[in-house]
Amino acid sequence: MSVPSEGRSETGFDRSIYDRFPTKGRRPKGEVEALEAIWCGPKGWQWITAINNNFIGVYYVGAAMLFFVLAGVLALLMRAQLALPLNGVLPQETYNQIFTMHGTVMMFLFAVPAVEALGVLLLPQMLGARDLPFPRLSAYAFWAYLIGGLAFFCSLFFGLAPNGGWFMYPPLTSTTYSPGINADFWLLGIGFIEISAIAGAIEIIVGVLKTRAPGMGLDKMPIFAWAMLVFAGMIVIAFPSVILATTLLELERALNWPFFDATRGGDPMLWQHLFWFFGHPEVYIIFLPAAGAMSTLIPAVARAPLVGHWMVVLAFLATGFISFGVWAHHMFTTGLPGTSVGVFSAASMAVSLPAGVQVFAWIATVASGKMRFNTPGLFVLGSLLIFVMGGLTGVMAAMVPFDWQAHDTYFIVAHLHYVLIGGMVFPLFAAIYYWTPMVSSRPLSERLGRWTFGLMFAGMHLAFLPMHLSGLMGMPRRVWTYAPGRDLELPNLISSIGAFVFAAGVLVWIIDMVRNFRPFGSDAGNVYDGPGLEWLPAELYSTRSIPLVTSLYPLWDQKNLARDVKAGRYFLPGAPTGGRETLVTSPVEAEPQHLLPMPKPSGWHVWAAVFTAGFFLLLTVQAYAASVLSGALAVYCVIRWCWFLDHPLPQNDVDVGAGLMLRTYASGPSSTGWWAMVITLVVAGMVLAMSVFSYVFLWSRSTAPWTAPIGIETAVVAGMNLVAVLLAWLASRVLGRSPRLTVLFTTAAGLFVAAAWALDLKTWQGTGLAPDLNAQGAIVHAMQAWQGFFVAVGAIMAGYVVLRWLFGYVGPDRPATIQLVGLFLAYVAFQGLVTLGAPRLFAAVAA
Amino acid sequence: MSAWRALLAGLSVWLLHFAIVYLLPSLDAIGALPPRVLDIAHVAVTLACLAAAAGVALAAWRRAKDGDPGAAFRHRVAALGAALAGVAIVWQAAPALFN
Repeated sequence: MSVPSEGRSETGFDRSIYDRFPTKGRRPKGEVEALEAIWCGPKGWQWITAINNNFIGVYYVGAAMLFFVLAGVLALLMRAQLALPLNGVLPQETYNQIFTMHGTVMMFLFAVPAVEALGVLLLPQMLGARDLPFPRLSAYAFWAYLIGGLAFFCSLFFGLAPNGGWFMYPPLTSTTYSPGINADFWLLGIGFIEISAIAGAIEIIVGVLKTRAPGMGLDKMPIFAWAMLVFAGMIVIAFPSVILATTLLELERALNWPFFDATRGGDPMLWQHLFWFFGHPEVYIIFLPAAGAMSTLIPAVARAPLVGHWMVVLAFLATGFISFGVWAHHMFTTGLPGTSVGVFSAASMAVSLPAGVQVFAWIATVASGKMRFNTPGLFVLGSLLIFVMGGLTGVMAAMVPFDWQAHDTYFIVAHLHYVLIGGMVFPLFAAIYYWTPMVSSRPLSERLGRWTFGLMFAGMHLAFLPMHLSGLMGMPRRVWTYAPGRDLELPNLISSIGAFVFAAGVLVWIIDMVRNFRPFGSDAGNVYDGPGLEWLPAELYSTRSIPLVTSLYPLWDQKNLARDVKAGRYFLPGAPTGGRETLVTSPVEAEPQHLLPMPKPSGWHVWAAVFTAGFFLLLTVQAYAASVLSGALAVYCVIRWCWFLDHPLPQNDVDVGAGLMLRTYASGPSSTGWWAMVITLVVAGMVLAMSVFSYVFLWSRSTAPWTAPIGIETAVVAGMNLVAVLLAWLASRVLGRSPRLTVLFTTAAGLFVAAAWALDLKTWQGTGLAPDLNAQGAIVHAMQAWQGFFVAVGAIMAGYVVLRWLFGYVGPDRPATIQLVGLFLAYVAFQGLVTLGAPRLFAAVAA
Repeated sequence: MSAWRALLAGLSVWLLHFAIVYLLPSLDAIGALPPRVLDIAHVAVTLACLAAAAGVALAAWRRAKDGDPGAAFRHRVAALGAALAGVAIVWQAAPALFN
């Protein structure tokens, strides 16, 4: 056990202050009552506007499990159809919609939201925070996901569900071969999922880095938090690629811009690159939080510290990095250059190294402890076995000659289900059984849990083990039926029986939940003797006081911690500002930096989510006017939501315990808002990077030379963008002297980026390069459209600053808004320079 | 940020090497440079990245003996990450080198 007062300080914080904790003596009366009143639960219809993670986390996990069950029902329909050859349970077109929706719902509406939900539910308690730093953002992400997801799912009932497979390859999904709006439902329907996932990722990154309990340096950070941090970072890097891909395909379908149309210089391979740059990391995005849960659960059920903890941390980080280097192994059969195929094959095999480190660490922990074979323990062991089997077939598929044989057969279906069920579903069920006592007044039934495990484990192998065989026997994926007499009858029948056995396991779990799950009240306590902070006695305000952490396993190593935390002997034992608040700490050593006032529940984020989902769904059914109105209303709701931010409290500094005084207002890099803006801009930058990649890719495939207008206008556009950067920087520099000048500079920066964009667009239009003419026209106009979108958002932000100034909300005592708007406008100007430069640079070089 | 940079330096070298060995065959495919030049570039980039990974690993391993347990943890992770990067760099360079 290490003492946090040792070593160098990260922020200049005097670590000897830690020696004052736990404090002595009684706390003043009324502190607990004040906390209860401030963090009180919703009453009646207020449950809709709740933002506390204790509520949103449960809603979120519940919604994800609902989609798991719905997608599972679709799987049963598929297996009923395939149980016998030439079966007639489903018409062919319906089957196409069902397998597409099964994959899409499982990947986008279950897997990613489920692990994100687990993070929202568990992280505040694990980190010792009162809540994550942007609770309304979590709530917004949840509602956008739920409303949009349900509407998307209902497309099945109208025969409008997408039918091109969950990865929607063009040209199959072009208007030529998919003329209805089914494909549009997919392309626009997952728009809100992308927004929701990124919003959740921002929340998780900032939460993990900035709201850990004092003393919880990186070496003492819970392994689940490590996994969630890498997971969220991967979402920020990977999701922009699918945002761009879906936007381009929808532009092609709606406006005839030929990104993927080979007859006009486009290339369907671009879709595959963009999709799989997201799609393969997506597998690890799903797997890592589950691996984090496994690494948390195994020490508890084996009653031993995780063997090789720091190596498991490294394995998470390494997985996060290398997962971005394996996307083309989904494309081995597309005719990539031989050396590229070799590189991707090698990288695909290398990714098994960090996965192997984790598996061996888990096995060693189980071997070194005294394993309890309770329900979480059984799911953990089941997961290990299934995941290793899936991993081994993954190494087989990473070998190119084998992949050529197995590609698009049921062997791959078996492989991916072994990986995803072993790597995510079983750990999720282990997590549900393990952490239910934290959020429910009753734990789930051990007896029913064993039945659930047994049926799911047996059903899983019955369903998917024979698929290896049917795949190697030549049965292709996504077929509606198969001919008799090819020895495929028996493996398919066994697979179908297995699917129903698996479903029976899930049904038993549902019965268990209905009988025993009782959330939002008291909790059942630490029934599994878990060592993490989440098992401290807690209420809706989280723990009574925020502990000083000196161990990776605080409840095992820090004596009397639960007693002292409950007695208010650590940080923030009351509510010194009289409102909701949490501690903000430094990102490496978790040293206290300031106090973060947190919002109260309101309806604005819910309305924003409703209108965001409405925007995408109305766009799908081509109700353009209604869609624009819905989008405008969403923007209005977001502005109203932001309006209550950035208001300094009357108390500049407050005592957070033992005489430690912390500021109640922060701006710049120590503030959570600054981090959130930077991460948002990384997302935007990744979309930009992928659009430059798309430009270069299409340019490299072109047989005709590409040209670009280079002249005096080019220099003018570059100059205007540089001036905008300067103005955005100056805006916050002059805030102390003159708020009026600040507003002027911000507005001017917005005008300069807008003028630069308009001039660049006009210059391109002057060349006669129409967006539907060829691939260059399409990609140039797509980049311009992306810049135009940012210019519009920048204009809204500049207008927002003007409005705040008119209300007297711009001043040197509240620089955060100005800094964040300035940061955004500077980025827009930078993006303008890239949009200007990249097409001209490559047009100047003959492909 | 310097702590994070040090922690992720080895893995970043790995990613950089990957990006370059992905780019080089693409340049070959469009005939941008003669194959001989690309082969030399491949070897040079691999050696440079290996040297960088080794440098990161050694520096981090030395610092891992620091008395501060938090810093020692970070340097250990960084050192092993760089070592892992070295193995992966050799592995992913092999297809091009033996092509």
